[in-house]
Amino acid sequence: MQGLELSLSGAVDPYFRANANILFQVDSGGETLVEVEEAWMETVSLPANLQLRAGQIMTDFGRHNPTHPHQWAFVDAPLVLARFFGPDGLRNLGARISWLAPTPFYSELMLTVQNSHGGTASSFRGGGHSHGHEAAEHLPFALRHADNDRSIEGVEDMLLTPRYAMSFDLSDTQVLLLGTSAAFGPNSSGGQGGGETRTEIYGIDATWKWKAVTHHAGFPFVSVQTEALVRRYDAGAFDWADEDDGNGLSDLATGAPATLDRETLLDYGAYAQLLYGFRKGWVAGLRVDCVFGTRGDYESGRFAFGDDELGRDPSRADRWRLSPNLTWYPTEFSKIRFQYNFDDRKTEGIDHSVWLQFEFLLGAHAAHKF
Amino acid sequence: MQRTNFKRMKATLRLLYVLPFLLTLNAASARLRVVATTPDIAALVQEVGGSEIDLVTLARPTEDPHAVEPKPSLMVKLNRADVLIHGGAELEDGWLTPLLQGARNAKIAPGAPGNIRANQGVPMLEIPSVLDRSAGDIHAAGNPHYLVDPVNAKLAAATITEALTRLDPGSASVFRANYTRFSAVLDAKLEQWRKLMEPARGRHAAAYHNSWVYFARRFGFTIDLFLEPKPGIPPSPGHLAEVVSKMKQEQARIILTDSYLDRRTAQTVASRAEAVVVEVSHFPGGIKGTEAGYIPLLDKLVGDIAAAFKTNQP
Repeated sequence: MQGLELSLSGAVDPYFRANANILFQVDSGGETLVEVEEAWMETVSLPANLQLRAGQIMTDFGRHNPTHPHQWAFVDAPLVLARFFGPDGLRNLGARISWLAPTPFYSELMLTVQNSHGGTASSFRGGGHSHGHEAAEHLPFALRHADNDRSIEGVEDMLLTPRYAMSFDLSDTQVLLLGTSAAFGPNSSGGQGGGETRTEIYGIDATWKWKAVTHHAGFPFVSVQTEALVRRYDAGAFDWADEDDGNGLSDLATGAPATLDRETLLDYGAYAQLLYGFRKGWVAGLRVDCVFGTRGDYESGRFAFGDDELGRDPSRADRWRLSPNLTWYPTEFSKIRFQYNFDDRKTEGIDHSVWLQFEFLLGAHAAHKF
Repeated sequence: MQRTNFKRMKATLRLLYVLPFLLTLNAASARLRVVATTPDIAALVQEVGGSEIDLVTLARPTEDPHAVEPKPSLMVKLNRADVLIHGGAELEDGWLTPLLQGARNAKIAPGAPGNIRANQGVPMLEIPSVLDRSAGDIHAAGNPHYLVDPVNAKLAAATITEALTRLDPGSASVFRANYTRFSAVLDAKLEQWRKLMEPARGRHAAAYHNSWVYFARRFGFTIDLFLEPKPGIPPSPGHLAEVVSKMKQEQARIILTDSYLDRRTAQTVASRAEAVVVEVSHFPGGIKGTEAGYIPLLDKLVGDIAAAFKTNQP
């Protein structure tokens, strides 16, 4: 079971409304895990078209990140979002202020300020480990530990995410939404005193949707959503000689503990997804995904971990994926999804996977946003 | 140098004198900005508000009112509204709730004086005693398709008049005069429509979706067969076969089908049950020839439905 999500929302009083999404998961050992995906309060009547939200919030970056798994059009998250923001997405304690501009068309400016630390702030002070490399599963990201955690000294040490979005009705049946987002914050890469290492992520997104003028329950419709992201990540200097357990990274030529210089890593990625609701309750989808990164200095093949010679970092290597799927909604309260992934990882080869997802919803109508 | 400064100051002062007048003028000429969720409510608002209001409608007449796309542009319309008039029976909840949350307009927030439920005072039918999703997509506030009963439309128009009068007292006399005229037309028309609907009295009909009970009750016929097994649940072949045999039993010879629903399914059932499909809509503009407003819509509905009952006698 992927998860059981409990979502609660309602008015607190005339000034605030609140929302909470709590995820329950049962792991393979039968243990139940509880995770607070979101829990926030939002102002209802702030002046000047402002709105303030505070609590545990999903960061308003692009289109996919601020959505809950049950709202996803595919079983899994786009590669680039999983790579930059981790499997749970970018979310943390903090606050978001947004302003609806007085333009004739929809135009909204948002700024989210959050804690830059923790497991749901991958790419920042929550800096993760590399995944998927069998021989060296416990190797840290960019082959260096995240020991460079400077304390919070100012607002620049928080995770700052500005976003601007605008939308136009192209016709009676077509809507276009364009957005641009950025996320800035410190990261902990490198050794103590490894310098002011920071991460910058930029994104652009576009969503287009057509819904028939005589639709029934929202069908038929066609929608296209695409996002492109760039990450600039400062990897701090790190000397493996400082590690006292003795079995760290070594220089292939000399056998001595490796010394990594500070470097800036660039990663890119994009996805585009097409959804076609061809008859009531049926949606066919197709998603194209890709991620790639410029080869870092640490990937030049000069280092080894134990007997393993290390080349391209699998967590930054090129990868592309093609995912067709078919979803059937017997009613708006349940769905059955079938998805196939053609997954080509340059370091590991090609994978084929098939997914079957079943989901149900209890309670009131799920209010859905554009 | 000093002289010019003084001059400029005088000019500024003059502007300060004029400004309050300009603002009052602006306020006096500003018409109430009214947002109606669905075109049937909008038609009633138009009757009462006339040219004294600026009216915006969120849903289009040809689409399924349960599933309007919550486009960001609709959020902007709600942001700038003085009044929001909605059905009050959860029909629009799925899309209106997120739009209202994003609209950040305290004037029309739930519970605010500018948030008007058009069904205040309307006797709602089919209020469920038990709320259970296994019964399909039902509404706690009762069947939300109440405006096709002209008596309910009159009640809603009175509610709208009361709200507009309260929010724009300056135009109160116009709103009241418009209401008086509209309700007089409605009363006269209701007599006509009742006569025309005589052939329907005591008969049975089927409907695709359970959205015509108010109309049927007003004109004395019964709709208790629905192509949807439960509201919002698509028809299954087994259920349709059952509907066909019950239609024959009850001698129900017409199937009311909202224009956005699948006409082919209705047609198949009709041909098997020796019945006819009548395309209907709750909204002015939902079917051809009804664009001009509520009265033309009811004229068309009564005309078509009465004709179908007349020509398809058991």
